[in-house]
Amino acid sequence: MAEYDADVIVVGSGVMGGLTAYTLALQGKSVILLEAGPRVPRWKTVERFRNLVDVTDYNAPYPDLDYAPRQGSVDYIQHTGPVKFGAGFLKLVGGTTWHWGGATWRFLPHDMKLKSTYGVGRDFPISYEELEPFYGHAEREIGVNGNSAYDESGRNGGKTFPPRSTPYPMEAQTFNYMNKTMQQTLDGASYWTIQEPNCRASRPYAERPTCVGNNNCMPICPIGAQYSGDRHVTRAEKLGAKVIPGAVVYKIDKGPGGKITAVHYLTPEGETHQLTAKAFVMAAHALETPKILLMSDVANSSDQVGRNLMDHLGFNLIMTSKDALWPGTGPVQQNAILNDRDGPQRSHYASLKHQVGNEAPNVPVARYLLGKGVLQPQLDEQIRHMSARWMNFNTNLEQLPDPVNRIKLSPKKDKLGLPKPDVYYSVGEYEARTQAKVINETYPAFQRLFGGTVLSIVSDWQPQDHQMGTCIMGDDARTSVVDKDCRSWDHSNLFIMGTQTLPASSSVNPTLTGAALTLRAAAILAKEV
Amino acid sequence: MGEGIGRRAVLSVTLAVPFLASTRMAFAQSQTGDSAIDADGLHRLSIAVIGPRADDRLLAQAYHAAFMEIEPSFLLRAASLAAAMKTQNLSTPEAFSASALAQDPVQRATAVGLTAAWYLGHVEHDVDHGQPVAFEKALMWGPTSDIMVTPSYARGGPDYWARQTAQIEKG
Repeated sequence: MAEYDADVIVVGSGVMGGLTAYTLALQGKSVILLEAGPRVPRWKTVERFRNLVDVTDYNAPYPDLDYAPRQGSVDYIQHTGPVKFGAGFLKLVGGTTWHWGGATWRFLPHDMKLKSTYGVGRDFPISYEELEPFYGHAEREIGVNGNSAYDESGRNGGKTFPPRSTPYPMEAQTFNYMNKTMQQTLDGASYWTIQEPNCRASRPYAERPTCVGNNNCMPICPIGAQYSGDRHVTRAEKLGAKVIPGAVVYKIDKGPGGKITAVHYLTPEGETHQLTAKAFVMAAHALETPKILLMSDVANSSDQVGRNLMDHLGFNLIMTSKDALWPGTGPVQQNAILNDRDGPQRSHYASLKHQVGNEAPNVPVARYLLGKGVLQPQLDEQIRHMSARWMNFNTNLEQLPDPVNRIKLSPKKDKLGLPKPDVYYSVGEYEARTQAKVINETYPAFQRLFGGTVLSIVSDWQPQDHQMGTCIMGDDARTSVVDKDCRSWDHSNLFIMGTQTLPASSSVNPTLTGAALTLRAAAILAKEV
Repeated sequence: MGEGIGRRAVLSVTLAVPFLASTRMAFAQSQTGDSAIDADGLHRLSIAVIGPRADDRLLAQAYHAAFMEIEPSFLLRAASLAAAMKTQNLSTPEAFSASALAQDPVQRATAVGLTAAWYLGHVEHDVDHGQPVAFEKALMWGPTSDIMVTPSYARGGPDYWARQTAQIEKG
């Protein structure tokens, strides 16, 4: 009888769990992946999407189960703070990257040294230079397209930044008419506009077909041209890894010397199981990972587990432009406006990124016009006119880590008798003053540039599903949960993979940084088991 | 990017108008029809209010069934509108919109409720609940379909969006 059930047990089968399992399996390690949710094929999600009442609800096509609740599940997250935390997560094999815009940015060197550069927030315990090769590795694994010559900081005089030792594995997708036209206007007004790096295949790549612009990246790419976490889960399985869906982990056992010895999980029917391994990886997202650690009193000598919850703070300007720009062709997001991504202002103002959405706007346009009582024969003409001019500027702000923003265990229990997460969430003065500056100065400038008629400024904080910080990384065991290798300070055979380890949020999507840290840590782990 | 950029922004612009609720209230304040419209009648009324793009008998039957499920009293209001349009010999959207009937808040609300179903592709209680009928054939996509894609139904191949400049500039 084998001493262990596997070399490594990975909890969570999203992009981070999949990359970990694949890296380990590639080196001949035995791996078990535990996933709380079910396995759902792509076609089924496409079918569910096309049979929704509200096709703008990105979560609705995905399973929401009493043993595996997802984003938007009624009464799962218990909100206790002044700002409702609209946490974004899915629970199924492949995880939350089933529905995402696919943005795959690198952080800037300054993003990772925020405290020492600008005197706010926290520093990563690892430098950009040290992580750089793993960014390249992550871009190749995930399959990223981008323009390797771009200045992605908006502050390097148009020269490539941040530095890269390898080019993007795929050439950037072409801009559509709206983006080309908009870029000319914005560049002419000194707004630095670039193509956003993303994980849609601009040529056939790793069993994925070329993107054909279904304009449906969220909630589901119907043809799988866009990367999703199930890709590496499948590859790991082909190499021998075992995936167990419907495995809700609720307890982690500690043994002699602080080593983790086993995990316990419940099936949807309430049966309990225990599995042992040489090492364990928690990759269950920024909400469930700390919840499981807190339930098990594991990895928390610093009292930082669950704290420092961050998201990108989103708000919108929605207007119609004077001229027809025609969003709604090609993928749903392509551009980024980066003037305020970096710079000395970050001592007082948050880093930020603007993006003009490219979703076909027919749903909000039709609802708007019908709400005003417009009927045929005017309705078709007005839908065309307004849709062609629809502009949705979405702004994302960096949020600083604050220990007060945290996940705790609620006294309320779910169907399996496990605690629901209590989430206390608030937004500080740093972020609030940045939003005010954008709304008062930048949005009017955008309005003037495009001759815009404002329909709405949505200033309440909108979740961007980029949760970070709840198992924070640092160089001091007294103030952080993991070290720069994603290893628990308290348990040498426990690793935490994912954006929950990030100690700073930047203003760009964090998945690629989580993936780079994960690949680096998985390589270290592979040498130890 | 998450839920925020799509749904909540959409709701902020549209005020989440409950189309059937407004027709229900308007009708209750005025009159009571005595018999519901049948599927063929709803088909004819849809063509008269919306135009030839609503000339789809199977879809009309599906919308009729959805109204029966979600809001059967709407079919009474639709019968009232159909009777009034017949009396006034109104058989096209142009004729209806130019008529005094279109200024009657009750009848106009019924026309909006019917149009909303065909354009959005469902019959709804509110923005979260209802009965889906059509996605690709929802009429809201048609006015832009020469340039925009109906989401998940791309048809131009890779980079089609980069080849549209001349078509767009031509207007």
